[in-house]
Amino acid sequence: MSITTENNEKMITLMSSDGEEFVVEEAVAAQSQTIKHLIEDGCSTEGSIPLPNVTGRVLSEVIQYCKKHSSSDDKEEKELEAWDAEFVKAADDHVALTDLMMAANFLDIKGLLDLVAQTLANMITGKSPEEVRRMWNIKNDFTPEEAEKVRKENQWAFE
Amino acid sequence: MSGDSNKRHKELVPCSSSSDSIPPPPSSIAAGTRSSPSSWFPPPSSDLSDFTVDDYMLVEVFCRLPSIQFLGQCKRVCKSWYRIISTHFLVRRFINHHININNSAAAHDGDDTKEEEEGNIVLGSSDYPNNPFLLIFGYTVSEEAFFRSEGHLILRVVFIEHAFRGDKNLCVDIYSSETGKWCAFPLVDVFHRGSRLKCSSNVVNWNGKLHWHSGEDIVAFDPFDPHKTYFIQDSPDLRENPDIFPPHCYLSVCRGFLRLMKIYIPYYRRGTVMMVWELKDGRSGNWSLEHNVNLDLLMNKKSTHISSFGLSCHPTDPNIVYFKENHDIIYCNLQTGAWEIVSQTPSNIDTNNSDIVFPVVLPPWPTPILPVPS
Repeated sequence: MSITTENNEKMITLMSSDGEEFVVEEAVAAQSQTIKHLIEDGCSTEGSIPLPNVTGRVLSEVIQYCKKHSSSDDKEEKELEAWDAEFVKAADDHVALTDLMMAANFLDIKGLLDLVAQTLANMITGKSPEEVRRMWNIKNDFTPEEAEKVRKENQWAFE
Repeated sequence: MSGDSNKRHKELVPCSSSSDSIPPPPSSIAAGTRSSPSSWFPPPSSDLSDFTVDDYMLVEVFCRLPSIQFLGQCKRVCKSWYRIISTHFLVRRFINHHININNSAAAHDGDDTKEEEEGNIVLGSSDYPNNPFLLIFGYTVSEEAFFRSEGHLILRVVFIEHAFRGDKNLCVDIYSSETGKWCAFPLVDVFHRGSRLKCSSNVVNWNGKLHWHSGEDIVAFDPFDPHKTYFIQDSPDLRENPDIFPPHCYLSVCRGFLRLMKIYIPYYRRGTVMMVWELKDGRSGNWSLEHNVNLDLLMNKKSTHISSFGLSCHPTDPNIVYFKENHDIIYCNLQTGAWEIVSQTPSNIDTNNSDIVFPVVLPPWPTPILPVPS
Protein backbone atom coordinates (compact mmCIF):
# COMPACT_ATOMS: atom_id res chain seq x y z
CA MET A 1 0.00 0.00 0.00
CA SER A 2 1.38 3.38 -0.90
CA ILE A 3 0.81 6.08 1.68
CA THR A 4 2.19 9.57 1.70
CA THR A 5 3.04 11.27 4.99
CA GLU A 6 2.75 14.96 5.81
CA ASN A 7 6.37 15.48 4.79
CA ASN A 8 5.52 14.04 1.42
CA GLU A 9 7.59 11.02 2.30
CA LYS A 10 6.27 8.02 0.46
CA MET A 11 5.63 5.07 2.75
CA ILE A 12 5.53 1.45 1.78
CA THR A 13 4.42 -1.67 3.61
CA LEU A 14 6.55 -4.79 3.96
CA MET A 15 5.09 -8.07 5.07
CA SER A 16 7.19 -10.73 6.74
CA SER A 17 6.84 -14.46 6.21
CA ASP A 18 4.81 -14.75 9.42
CA GLY A 19 2.37 -12.04 8.34
CA GLU A 20 3.71 -9.10 10.31
CA GLU A 21 3.43 -5.76 8.52
CA PHE A 22 5.98 -2.95 8.70
CA VAL A 23 5.30 0.50 7.32
CA VAL A 24 8.53 2.24 6.41
CA GLU A 25 9.65 5.22 4.38
CA GLU A 26 10.51 4.35 0.84
CA ALA A 27 14.04 5.72 1.29
CA VAL A 28 14.58 3.28 4.14
CA ALA A 29 13.22 0.27 2.27
CA ALA A 30 15.22 1.19 -0.82
CA GLN A 31 18.43 0.41 1.06
CA SER A 32 17.51 -3.06 -0.07
CA GLN A 33 18.29 -3.41 -3.77
CA THR A 34 15.69 -6.14 -4.02
CA ILE A 35 12.93 -3.89 -2.69
CA LYS A 36 14.23 -0.93 -4.67
CA HIS A 37 13.82 -2.89 -7.87
CA LEU A 38 10.37 -4.06 -6.84
CA ILE A 39 9.36 -0.44 -6.23
CA GLU A 40 10.82 0.64 -9.56
CA ASP A 41 8.85 -2.09 -11.25
CA GLY A 42 5.71 -0.76 -9.65
CA CYS A 43 5.10 -3.64 -7.29
CA SER A 44 4.53 -1.48 -4.26
CA THR A 45 1.63 0.57 -5.53
CA GLU A 46 -0.99 -1.77 -4.24
CA GLY A 47 -0.96 -3.80 -1.07
CA SER A 48 2.19 -4.67 0.79
CA ILE A 49 5.41 -6.22 -0.45
CA PRO A 50 5.55 -9.82 0.74
CA LEU A 51 8.95 -11.05 1.89
CA PRO A 52 8.46 -14.80 2.17
CA ASN A 53 12.02 -15.52 3.28
CA VAL A 54 12.20 -13.13 6.20
CA THR A 55 10.51 -13.49 9.58
CA GLY A 56 9.09 -10.52 11.46
CA ARG A 57 11.78 -10.70 14.11
CA VAL A 58 14.58 -10.55 11.54
CA LEU A 59 12.80 -7.97 9.41
CA SER A 60 12.47 -5.59 12.33
CA GLU A 61 16.24 -5.80 12.84
CA VAL A 62 16.88 -5.25 9.16
CA ILE A 63 14.61 -2.21 9.18
CA GLN A 64 16.40 -0.88 12.23
CA TYR A 65 19.67 -1.11 10.30
CA CYS A 66 18.23 0.45 7.17
CA LYS A 67 16.71 3.35 9.12
CA LYS A 68 20.02 4.14 10.73
CA HIS A 69 21.92 3.93 7.49
CA SER A 70 19.48 5.97 5.44
CA SER A 71 19.43 8.78 7.97
CA SER A 72 23.18 9.07 8.49
CA ASP A 73 25.46 10.85 6.10
CA ASP A 74 29.15 10.26 5.51
CA LYS A 75 30.30 12.71 8.14
CA GLU A 76 29.02 10.45 10.85
CA GLU A 77 31.06 7.50 9.74
CA LYS A 78 32.70 6.94 13.13
CA GLU A 79 29.41 7.07 14.93
CA LEU A 80 27.86 4.74 12.39
CA GLU A 81 30.66 2.22 12.90
CA ALA A 82 30.05 2.27 16.63
CA TRP A 83 26.34 1.84 16.03
CA ASP A 84 27.01 -1.13 13.71
CA ALA A 85 29.18 -2.74 16.37
CA GLU A 86 26.41 -2.40 18.95
CA PHE A 87 23.86 -3.63 16.44
CA VAL A 88 25.63 -6.95 15.77
CA LYS A 89 26.44 -7.32 19.45
CA ALA A 90 22.73 -7.21 20.17
CA ALA A 91 22.14 -10.10 17.78
CA ASP A 92 24.64 -11.94 19.92
CA ASP A 93 24.63 -15.55 18.77
CA HIS A 94 25.55 -17.01 15.44
CA VAL A 95 22.08 -18.34 14.69
CA ALA A 96 20.55 -14.87 14.89
CA LEU A 97 23.44 -13.50 12.86
CA THR A 98 23.04 -16.19 10.21
CA ASP A 99 19.33 -15.38 9.91
CA LEU A 100 20.24 -11.74 9.57
CA MET A 101 22.82 -12.53 6.93
CA MET A 102 20.37 -14.62 4.91
CA ALA A 103 17.91 -11.75 5.02
CA ALA A 104 20.62 -9.30 3.97
CA ASN A 105 21.51 -11.63 1.12
CA PHE A 106 17.91 -12.05 -0.02
CA LEU A 107 17.13 -8.36 0.31
CA ASP A 108 20.48 -7.46 -1.26
CA ILE A 109 21.72 -5.01 1.37
CA LYS A 110 25.44 -5.05 0.82
CA GLY A 111 26.45 -3.10 3.90
CA LEU A 112 24.52 -5.36 6.22
CA LEU A 113 25.81 -8.50 4.53
CA ASP A 114 29.39 -7.25 4.91
CA LEU A 115 28.82 -6.35 8.51
CA VAL A 116 27.29 -9.64 9.56
CA ALA A 117 29.59 -11.88 7.51
CA GLN A 118 32.64 -10.09 8.89
CA THR A 119 31.26 -10.44 12.42
CA LEU A 120 30.83 -14.16 11.94
CA ALA A 121 34.31 -14.46 10.40
CA ASN A 122 35.75 -12.62 13.40
CA MET A 123 33.96 -14.99 15.75
CA ILE A 124 35.81 -18.02 14.44
CA THR A 125 39.14 -16.40 13.61
CA GLY A 126 41.92 -17.87 15.69
CA LYS A 127 39.74 -20.60 17.12
CA SER A 128 40.66 -24.26 16.89
CA PRO A 129 38.36 -26.53 14.88
CA GLU A 130 37.06 -27.97 18.16
CA GLU A 131 36.27 -24.52 19.53
CA VAL A 132 34.51 -23.59 16.30
CA ARG A 133 32.39 -26.74 16.49
CA ARG A 134 31.43 -26.09 20.08
CA MET A 135 30.65 -22.43 19.46
CA TRP A 136 28.48 -23.07 16.40
CA ASN A 137 27.14 -26.41 17.44
CA ILE A 138 28.60 -28.28 14.47
CA LYS A 139 28.89 -32.04 14.50
CA ASN A 140 32.31 -33.45 13.73
CA ASP A 141 31.44 -35.96 11.03
CA PHE A 142 34.99 -37.04 10.23
CA THR A 143 36.06 -40.52 11.21
CA PRO A 144 39.26 -40.48 13.29
CA GLU A 145 41.23 -41.60 10.20
CA GLU A 146 39.73 -38.90 8.01
CA ALA A 147 40.28 -36.27 10.68
CA GLU A 148 43.90 -37.25 10.95
CA LYS A 149 44.31 -37.09 7.20
CA VAL A 150 42.81 -33.61 6.98
CA ARG A 151 44.84 -32.47 9.96
CA LYS A 152 48.09 -33.68 8.41
CA GLU A 153 47.19 -32.19 5.08
CA ASN A 154 46.75 -28.77 6.56
CA GLN A 155 49.48 -28.90 9.12
CA TRP A 156 51.82 -29.69 6.30
CA ALA A 157 50.59 -27.23 3.76
CA PHE A 158 50.34 -24.26 6.05
CA GLU A 159 52.91 -24.55 8.76
CA MET B 1 53.56 -14.05 8.93
CA SER B 2 52.29 -10.94 7.21
CA GLY B 3 54.47 -7.87 7.50
CA ASP B 4 57.42 -9.94 8.52
CA SER B 5 59.73 -8.99 5.71
CA ASN B 6 63.02 -9.40 7.53
CA LYS B 7 62.97 -13.12 7.85
CA ARG B 8 64.07 -15.35 5.09
CA HIS B 9 61.00 -16.63 3.47
CA LYS B 10 60.12 -20.07 2.50
CA GLU B 11 60.28 -20.66 -1.15
CA LEU B 12 57.14 -22.21 -2.41
CA VAL B 13 57.83 -25.12 -4.64
CA PRO B 14 54.65 -26.09 -6.34
CA CYS B 15 54.75 -29.75 -7.14
CA SER B 16 52.86 -30.01 -10.33
CA SER B 17 50.69 -32.89 -11.25
CA SER B 18 52.68 -33.54 -14.37
CA SER B 19 52.40 -37.23 -13.80
CA ASP B 20 48.94 -36.99 -15.28
CA SER B 21 50.36 -36.43 -18.70
CA ILE B 22 52.59 -39.44 -18.95
CA PRO B 23 51.68 -43.05 -19.51
CA PRO B 24 50.79 -44.89 -16.33
CA PRO B 25 53.87 -46.29 -14.63
CA PRO B 26 54.10 -49.96 -13.66
CA SER B 27 51.75 -50.62 -10.79
CA SER B 28 54.53 -51.37 -8.34
CA ILE B 29 55.71 -47.79 -8.69
CA ALA B 30 52.25 -46.38 -8.56
CA ALA B 31 51.44 -48.21 -5.37
CA GLY B 32 54.38 -46.66 -3.59
CA THR B 33 53.70 -43.07 -4.40
CA ARG B 34 49.99 -42.67 -4.63
CA SER B 35 47.24 -43.13 -2.17
CA SER B 36 43.74 -43.29 -3.46
CA PRO B 37 41.64 -40.56 -1.90
CA SER B 38 38.62 -41.54 0.13
CA SER B 39 35.37 -41.03 -1.65
CA TRP B 40 34.38 -37.92 0.22
CA PHE B 41 37.59 -36.10 -0.61
CA PRO B 42 36.34 -34.16 -3.58
CA PRO B 43 38.70 -32.91 -6.24
CA PRO B 44 38.86 -29.12 -6.38
CA SER B 45 36.14 -28.00 -8.70
CA SER B 46 34.12 -24.98 -9.54
CA ASP B 47 30.95 -26.95 -9.63
CA LEU B 48 28.35 -25.18 -7.55
CA SER B 49 25.37 -27.28 -8.46
CA ASP B 50 25.14 -28.84 -5.02
CA PHE B 51 25.63 -25.63 -3.08
CA THR B 52 22.77 -24.79 -0.76
CA VAL B 53 21.81 -21.35 0.46
CA ASP B 54 23.52 -22.18 3.74
CA ASP B 55 26.67 -23.02 1.82
CA TYR B 56 26.61 -19.63 0.12
CA MET B 57 26.26 -17.98 3.49
CA LEU B 58 29.34 -19.87 4.66
CA VAL B 59 31.17 -18.70 1.55
CA GLU B 60 30.43 -15.12 2.60
CA VAL B 61 31.99 -15.83 5.98
CA PHE B 62 34.94 -17.86 4.70
CA CYS B 63 36.05 -15.28 2.17
CA ARG B 64 36.35 -12.76 5.02
CA LEU B 65 38.71 -14.86 7.12
CA PRO B 66 42.05 -13.14 7.61
CA SER B 67 44.38 -15.67 6.02
CA ILE B 68 44.42 -18.59 3.66
CA GLN B 69 46.24 -20.56 6.32
CA PHE B 70 43.37 -20.16 8.70
CA LEU B 71 40.92 -20.92 5.92
CA GLY B 72 42.76 -24.20 5.39
CA GLN B 73 42.50 -24.99 9.07
CA CYS B 74 38.73 -24.52 8.90
CA LYS B 75 38.58 -27.51 6.56
CA ARG B 76 39.00 -29.59 9.69
CA VAL B 77 35.70 -28.54 11.24
CA CYS B 78 33.41 -30.86 9.30
CA LYS B 79 32.91 -32.45 5.90
CA SER B 80 30.66 -29.79 4.50
CA TRP B 81 33.17 -27.08 5.42
CA TYR B 82 35.90 -29.19 3.85
CA ARG B 83 33.88 -29.50 0.67
CA ILE B 84 33.12 -25.78 0.38
CA ILE B 85 36.65 -24.66 1.18
CA SER B 86 38.01 -27.06 -1.43
CA THR B 87 36.15 -25.42 -4.31
CA HIS B 88 37.78 -23.05 -6.74
CA PHE B 89 34.75 -20.85 -6.34
CA LEU B 90 35.70 -20.15 -2.76
CA VAL B 91 39.36 -19.54 -3.59
CA ARG B 92 38.33 -16.99 -6.15
CA ARG B 93 35.95 -15.28 -3.80
CA PHE B 94 38.66 -15.17 -1.16
CA ILE B 95 41.15 -13.62 -3.55
CA ASN B 96 38.64 -11.09 -4.83
CA HIS B 97 37.69 -10.06 -1.36
CA HIS B 98 41.24 -9.60 -0.17
CA ILE B 99 42.41 -7.79 -3.27
CA ASN B 100 39.48 -5.41 -3.04
CA ILE B 101 39.88 -4.56 0.61
CA ASN B 102 43.59 -4.00 0.16
CA ASN B 103 43.32 -1.78 -2.88
CA SER B 104 43.68 1.35 -0.85
CA ALA B 105 46.23 -0.01 1.59
CA ALA B 106 49.64 1.50 2.02
CA ALA B 107 52.44 0.36 -0.23
CA HIS B 108 54.39 -2.76 0.41
CA ASP B 109 57.01 -2.44 3.11
CA GLY B 110 59.34 -5.13 1.81
CA ASP B 111 63.01 -4.20 1.78
CA ASP B 112 63.60 -5.35 -1.76
CA THR B 113 60.71 -3.79 -3.54
CA LYS B 114 61.37 -0.14 -2.93
CA GLU B 115 61.86 0.63 -6.57
CA GLU B 116 58.21 0.30 -7.26
CA GLU B 117 56.88 3.25 -9.14
CA GLU B 118 53.69 4.02 -10.80
CA GLY B 119 53.78 2.43 -14.20
CA ASN B 120 55.80 -0.57 -13.18
CA ILE B 121 54.47 -3.99 -12.66
CA VAL B 122 55.24 -5.03 -9.17
CA LEU B 123 53.79 -7.73 -7.25
CA GLY B 124 53.76 -8.25 -3.93
CA SER B 125 54.66 -11.43 -2.48
CA SER B 126 57.63 -11.76 -0.20
CA ASP B 127 57.91 -15.35 -1.30
CA TYR B 128 58.53 -14.26 -4.84
CA PRO B 129 60.09 -10.84 -4.41
CA ASN B 130 59.38 -8.55 -7.31
CA ASN B 131 57.60 -11.08 -9.41
CA PRO B 132 55.06 -9.24 -11.43
CA PHE B 133 52.57 -12.05 -11.23
CA LEU B 134 50.92 -14.00 -8.57
CA LEU B 135 50.65 -17.62 -9.29
CA ILE B 136 48.01 -19.72 -7.71
CA PHE B 137 47.63 -23.43 -7.84
CA GLY B 138 44.82 -24.49 -5.65
CA TYR B 139 46.17 -23.48 -2.30
CA THR B 140 49.83 -23.24 -3.13
CA VAL B 141 49.86 -19.62 -2.30
CA SER B 142 50.92 -17.60 0.65
CA GLU B 143 49.07 -15.10 2.71
CA GLU B 144 51.31 -12.33 1.46
CA ALA B 145 50.29 -13.04 -2.05
CA PHE B 146 46.98 -11.49 -1.23
CA PHE B 147 47.73 -8.93 1.36
CA ARG B 148 50.58 -7.31 -0.46
CA SER B 149 48.62 -6.88 -3.64
CA GLU B 150 48.50 -3.17 -3.11
CA GLY B 151 46.49 -0.45 -4.68
CA HIS B 152 47.96 1.66 -7.49
CA LEU B 153 49.85 -1.32 -8.75
CA ILE B 154 48.90 -3.05 -11.90
CA LEU B 155 48.78 -6.73 -11.45
CA ARG B 156 47.34 -9.93 -12.75
CA VAL B 157 46.42 -12.95 -10.78
CA VAL B 158 46.47 -16.00 -12.99
CA PHE B 159 44.60 -19.10 -12.02
CA ILE B 160 45.61 -22.16 -14.01
CA GLU B 161 43.69 -25.32 -13.67
CA HIS B 162 45.81 -28.27 -14.50
CA ALA B 163 44.57 -30.20 -17.45
CA PHE B 164 43.70 -33.32 -15.56
CA ARG B 165 43.20 -36.58 -17.34
CA GLY B 166 44.01 -35.35 -20.77
CA ASP B 167 41.46 -32.57 -20.72
CA LYS B 168 42.38 -30.45 -23.67
CA ASN B 169 40.38 -27.40 -22.79
CA LEU B 170 43.06 -25.60 -20.88
CA CYS B 171 41.63 -22.33 -19.78
CA VAL B 172 43.27 -19.75 -17.59
CA ASP B 173 41.40 -17.29 -15.42
CA ILE B 174 42.97 -13.88 -15.16
CA TYR B 175 42.24 -11.26 -12.56
CA SER B 176 42.91 -7.71 -13.64
CA SER B 177 43.55 -5.06 -11.01
CA GLU B 178 42.31 -2.35 -13.37
CA THR B 179 38.89 -3.81 -13.92
CA GLY B 180 38.69 -5.69 -10.64
CA LYS B 181 37.30 -8.63 -12.52
CA TRP B 182 38.22 -12.17 -13.43
CA CYS B 183 37.92 -13.28 -16.98
CA ALA B 184 38.53 -16.62 -18.57
CA PHE B 185 40.92 -16.92 -21.46
CA PRO B 186 40.44 -20.10 -23.45
CA LEU B 187 43.96 -20.78 -24.67
CA VAL B 188 43.01 -23.69 -26.85
CA ASP B 189 40.36 -21.79 -28.77
CA VAL B 190 42.66 -18.88 -29.43
CA PHE B 191 45.75 -20.76 -30.49
CA HIS B 192 44.08 -23.75 -32.15
CA ARG B 193 46.70 -26.05 -30.81
CA GLY B 194 44.55 -28.67 -29.22
CA SER B 195 46.50 -30.94 -26.98
CA ARG B 196 49.60 -28.82 -27.33
CA LEU B 197 48.25 -26.50 -24.69
CA LYS B 198 48.19 -28.79 -21.77
CA CYS B 199 49.84 -27.64 -18.62
CA SER B 200 52.01 -30.61 -17.85
CA SER B 201 54.64 -29.02 -15.65
CA ASN B 202 54.86 -26.45 -12.93
CA VAL B 203 54.55 -22.81 -13.94
CA VAL B 204 57.29 -20.25 -13.47
CA ASN B 205 57.42 -16.55 -14.01
CA TRP B 206 60.35 -15.52 -16.15
CA ASN B 207 61.04 -12.59 -18.44
CA GLY B 208 57.65 -11.08 -17.84
CA LYS B 209 55.76 -14.18 -18.92
CA LEU B 210 54.42 -17.26 -17.25
CA HIS B 211 56.05 -20.38 -18.59
CA TRP B 212 54.95 -23.95 -18.48
CA HIS B 213 55.62 -27.13 -20.39
CA SER B 214 52.76 -28.19 -22.59
CA GLY B 215 54.07 -31.68 -23.21
CA GLU B 216 55.46 -30.59 -26.56
CA ASP B 217 56.95 -27.18 -26.06
CA ILE B 218 57.15 -24.34 -23.60
CA VAL B 219 54.23 -21.95 -23.44
CA ALA B 220 55.25 -18.36 -22.69
CA PHE B 221 51.98 -16.86 -21.56
CA ASP B 222 51.56 -13.12 -21.30
CA PRO B 223 48.91 -12.34 -18.70
CA PHE B 224 48.78 -8.70 -19.81
CA ASP B 225 48.10 -9.58 -23.40
CA PRO B 226 47.29 -13.27 -23.79
CA HIS B 227 47.25 -12.90 -27.56
CA LYS B 228 50.98 -12.20 -27.42
CA THR B 229 51.60 -15.60 -25.94
CA TYR B 230 54.31 -17.46 -27.82
CA PHE B 231 55.91 -20.87 -27.76
CA ILE B 232 59.49 -21.90 -27.15
CA GLN B 233 60.75 -25.05 -28.75
CA ASP B 234 61.36 -27.87 -26.30
CA SER B 235 64.91 -28.96 -25.54
CA PRO B 236 66.14 -31.81 -27.77
CA ASP B 237 64.86 -35.26 -26.93
CA LEU B 238 67.91 -37.34 -26.09
CA ARG B 239 66.10 -40.58 -25.41
CA GLU B 240 68.05 -43.38 -26.96
CA ASN B 241 65.58 -46.00 -26.07
CA PRO B 242 61.92 -46.00 -26.96
CA ASP B 243 61.22 -47.93 -23.75
CA ILE B 244 61.77 -44.76 -21.82
CA PHE B 245 58.75 -42.67 -21.11
CA PRO B 246 58.57 -39.03 -22.02
CA PRO B 247 60.22 -37.17 -19.18
CA HIS B 248 58.72 -35.36 -16.25
CA CYS B 249 59.46 -31.69 -16.84
CA TYR B 250 60.10 -28.99 -14.27
CA LEU B 251 60.84 -25.36 -14.91
CA SER B 252 62.93 -23.14 -12.67
CA VAL B 253 64.87 -19.94 -12.89
CA CYS B 254 68.55 -20.03 -12.00
CA ARG B 255 70.57 -16.83 -11.95
CA GLY B 256 68.07 -15.24 -14.26
CA PHE B 257 68.02 -18.06 -16.83
CA LEU B 258 65.09 -20.31 -17.50
CA ARG B 259 65.96 -23.89 -16.67
CA LEU B 260 64.21 -27.04 -17.71
CA MET B 261 64.77 -30.11 -15.59
CA LYS B 262 63.79 -33.36 -17.25
CA ILE B 263 63.65 -36.68 -15.49
CA TYR B 264 63.57 -39.79 -17.63
CA ILE B 265 62.35 -42.88 -15.86
CA PRO B 266 63.15 -46.16 -17.58
CA TYR B 267 60.51 -48.79 -17.89
CA TYR B 268 62.25 -51.74 -16.25
CA ARG B 269 65.97 -51.30 -16.05
CA ARG B 270 67.96 -49.02 -13.81
CA GLY B 271 68.91 -45.65 -14.97
CA THR B 272 66.75 -42.73 -13.96
CA VAL B 273 68.33 -39.85 -15.81
CA MET B 274 68.11 -36.20 -14.94
CA MET B 275 68.96 -33.62 -17.56
CA VAL B 276 69.08 -29.93 -16.80
CA TRP B 277 68.81 -27.56 -19.74
CA GLU B 278 69.27 -23.83 -19.74
CA LEU B 279 67.69 -21.50 -22.26
CA LYS B 280 70.43 -19.33 -23.69
CA ASP B 281 68.27 -16.94 -25.63
CA GLY B 282 64.64 -16.01 -25.54
CA ARG B 283 62.38 -17.46 -28.16
CA SER B 284 64.48 -19.59 -30.44
CA GLY B 285 64.78 -22.56 -28.16
CA ASN B 286 68.57 -22.49 -27.98
CA TRP B 287 68.98 -24.86 -25.08
CA SER B 288 72.28 -25.74 -23.51
CA LEU B 289 72.67 -29.04 -21.68
CA GLU B 290 74.10 -28.19 -18.26
CA HIS B 291 73.80 -31.54 -16.53
CA ASN B 292 73.15 -35.11 -17.62
CA VAL B 293 73.26 -37.41 -14.64
CA ASN B 294 72.20 -40.96 -13.91
CA LEU B 295 70.46 -40.50 -10.59
CA ASP B 296 70.40 -44.19 -9.74
CA LEU B 297 74.16 -44.48 -10.07
CA LEU B 298 74.75 -41.21 -8.31
CA MET B 299 72.66 -42.23 -5.36
CA ASN B 300 73.74 -45.85 -5.52
CA LYS B 301 70.14 -46.96 -5.43
CA LYS B 302 69.30 -50.54 -4.76
CA SER B 303 65.69 -50.42 -5.73
CA THR B 304 64.51 -49.31 -9.12
CA HIS B 305 60.94 -49.02 -7.98
CA ILE B 306 61.29 -45.47 -6.88
CA SER B 307 60.33 -42.63 -9.12
CA SER B 308 61.93 -39.25 -8.90
CA PHE B 309 60.00 -36.03 -9.12
CA GLY B 310 61.80 -32.79 -9.79
CA LEU B 311 61.04 -29.93 -7.43
CA SER B 312 63.32 -27.03 -8.19
CA CYS B 313 66.71 -25.85 -9.33
CA HIS B 314 68.61 -23.76 -6.85
CA PRO B 315 67.99 -20.12 -7.71
CA THR B 316 71.63 -19.08 -7.47
CA ASP B 317 73.82 -22.20 -7.55
CA PRO B 318 73.65 -23.79 -11.01
CA ASN B 319 74.84 -27.17 -9.76
CA ILE B 320 72.20 -27.75 -7.13
CA VAL B 321 68.78 -29.24 -7.67
CA TYR B 322 66.01 -30.44 -5.42
CA PHE B 323 63.93 -33.47 -6.17
CA LYS B 324 61.73 -35.95 -4.44
CA GLU B 325 62.03 -39.72 -4.16
CA ASN B 326 58.92 -41.15 -2.63
CA HIS B 327 58.69 -39.11 0.55
CA ASP B 328 62.24 -37.84 0.71
CA ILE B 329 63.10 -34.35 -0.42
CA ILE B 330 66.64 -34.52 -1.72
CA TYR B 331 69.22 -31.82 -2.16
CA CYS B 332 71.80 -32.80 -4.75
CA ASN B 333 74.90 -31.19 -6.16
CA LEU B 334 75.03 -32.59 -9.68
CA GLN B 335 78.64 -31.48 -10.12
CA THR B 336 80.15 -33.17 -7.08
CA GLY B 337 77.57 -35.89 -6.69
CA ALA B 338 76.96 -34.96 -3.06
CA TRP B 339 73.40 -35.40 -1.95
CA GLU B 340 71.38 -35.51 1.22
CA ILE B 341 67.82 -35.91 2.37
CA VAL B 342 66.84 -32.48 3.63
CA SER B 343 63.24 -33.09 4.52
CA GLN B 344 60.48 -35.60 4.29
CA THR B 345 56.88 -35.36 3.34
CA PRO B 346 54.39 -37.12 5.57
CA SER B 347 53.94 -40.65 4.34
CA ASN B 348 50.18 -40.56 4.32
CA ILE B 349 49.81 -37.58 2.04
CA ASP B 350 49.58 -37.79 -1.68
CA THR B 351 52.44 -35.43 -2.38
CA ASN B 352 51.85 -35.52 -6.08
CA ASN B 353 49.02 -33.12 -5.45
CA SER B 354 49.68 -29.61 -6.56
CA ASP B 355 48.61 -28.02 -3.30
CA ILE B 356 51.56 -29.01 -1.21
CA VAL B 357 54.10 -26.52 0.04
CA PHE B 358 57.58 -27.92 0.56
CA PRO B 359 59.39 -26.47 3.55
CA VAL B 360 62.68 -25.91 1.78
CA VAL B 361 64.19 -22.48 2.19
CA LEU B 362 65.90 -21.16 -0.90
CA PRO B 363 67.61 -17.81 -1.23
CA PRO B 364 65.72 -15.26 -3.26
CA TRP B 365 66.65 -14.27 -6.76
CA PRO B 366 64.95 -11.07 -7.75
CA THR B 367 62.88 -11.01 -10.88
CA PRO B 368 63.43 -7.82 -12.84
CA ILE B 369 60.50 -5.46 -12.92
CA LEU B 370 59.32 -4.83 -16.43
CA PRO B 371 57.52 -1.72 -17.57
CA VAL B 372 53.80 -1.99 -18.02
CA PRO B 373 53.04 -3.07 -21.57
CA SER B 374 51.46 -0.19 -23.41
